[in-house]
Amino acid sequence: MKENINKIFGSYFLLLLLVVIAFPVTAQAETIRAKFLQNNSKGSVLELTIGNPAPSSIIVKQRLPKGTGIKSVNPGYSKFSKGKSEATWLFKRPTPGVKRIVVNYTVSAKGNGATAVIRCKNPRDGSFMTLNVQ
Amino acid sequence: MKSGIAMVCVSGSKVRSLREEQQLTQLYLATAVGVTTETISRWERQESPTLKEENGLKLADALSVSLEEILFVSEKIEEKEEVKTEVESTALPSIRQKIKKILLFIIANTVLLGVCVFLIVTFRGADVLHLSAKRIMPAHSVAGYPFPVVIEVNFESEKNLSLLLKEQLPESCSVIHTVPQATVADDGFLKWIEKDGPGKRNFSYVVKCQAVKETQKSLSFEGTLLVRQSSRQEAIVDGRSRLRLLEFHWADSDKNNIVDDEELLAVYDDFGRIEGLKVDVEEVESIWMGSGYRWNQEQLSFDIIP
Repeated sequence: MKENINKIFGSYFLLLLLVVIAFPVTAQAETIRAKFLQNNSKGSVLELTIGNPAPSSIIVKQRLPKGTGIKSVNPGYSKFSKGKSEATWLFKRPTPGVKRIVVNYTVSAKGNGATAVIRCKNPRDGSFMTLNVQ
Repeated sequence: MKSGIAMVCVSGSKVRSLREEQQLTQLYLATAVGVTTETISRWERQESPTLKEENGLKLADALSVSLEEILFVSEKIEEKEEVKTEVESTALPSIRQKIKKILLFIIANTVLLGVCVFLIVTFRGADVLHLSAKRIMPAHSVAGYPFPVVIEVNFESEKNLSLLLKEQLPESCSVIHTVPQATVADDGFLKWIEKDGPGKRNFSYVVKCQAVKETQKSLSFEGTLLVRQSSRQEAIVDGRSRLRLLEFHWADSDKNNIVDDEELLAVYDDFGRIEGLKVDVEEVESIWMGSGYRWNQEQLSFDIIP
């Protein structure tokens, strides 16, 4: 009886092993995720989580609340549109991991906080991706 | 085992009647032929009418007749024939069996050979599991202005085979540099020989093209990928193969004098990842940062609109 149970378990183990060998499952992380860690009248902290493989470049656009300006920012933006009150960052060859964009405003913002748009190409299929963060 | 001695069958009654006519005794005939009287008696009684032709001739001679006159049957019975007939009648099934065996052997070997050939062909076909090449290049560029071209090669094989990539450029184009260094770069012809075996790799170059004629607006690129093995495996480089000479930056794919986010990302994705490829991405980035650009024909450069 015990031998039979062992045989059955042995067979199941072998079958499982075959399935694992035949169908290797690779953990596919998300290409990119983003969220505001802080988004208030004084400033914002946007956190990007870049998956592996990382996109070849990422564009982050952050629209500031009305009536505010940038007092300090880290990292520095690539371009700023005064008309749209929008700062744009271009991250070239980013590495997988976490990136944070910290923005401090000149004056306290009223109303809604900042909004962000993240754009990149999916490294797996080359499709364009757009993430809206609020 | 029977010998090849000729045998004849005599008519016993004829022998007896001839002997009696000539008043010969059986002893006389037996002495003349060299057999016993008993044998002569058996011949006459037709008990054992078949005798050696030699004895038949001696018997006929003793009876003073020709052999034909005492033969029971007119034709001679050749023992050879008998033997042959006997062999034919008895050995025919075994010969047939032997032929069958030989045929089966031949068929089995043919089938085995066929299976071997099939396996060899299949196995050899599997030497190259996948072979493809795709050209990535802009749809247009300004005449005389450098632009990048990348050929993505995907080569899967279980063997460490060499690759040969050939790229024929339009005659009005001149190569500025190649990554990796092309084995041959001559008169608009590029050739790379890659010995690192299977894998994904990029072959890229920066090129500038002129219009040969004023009216010429479109240029054609052709490429071939080869793998040397027992049977030559070849693939045509697909992807974009035509380039138009227009006064728009090669990165401005929708030709609206603006490099937008998608166009910039595409430039980085397609060309920015290639180490050592001297593409002026900074210029593309500068155009992207600005609000647009214009082609300056006099200075042969792009004016960036802030």
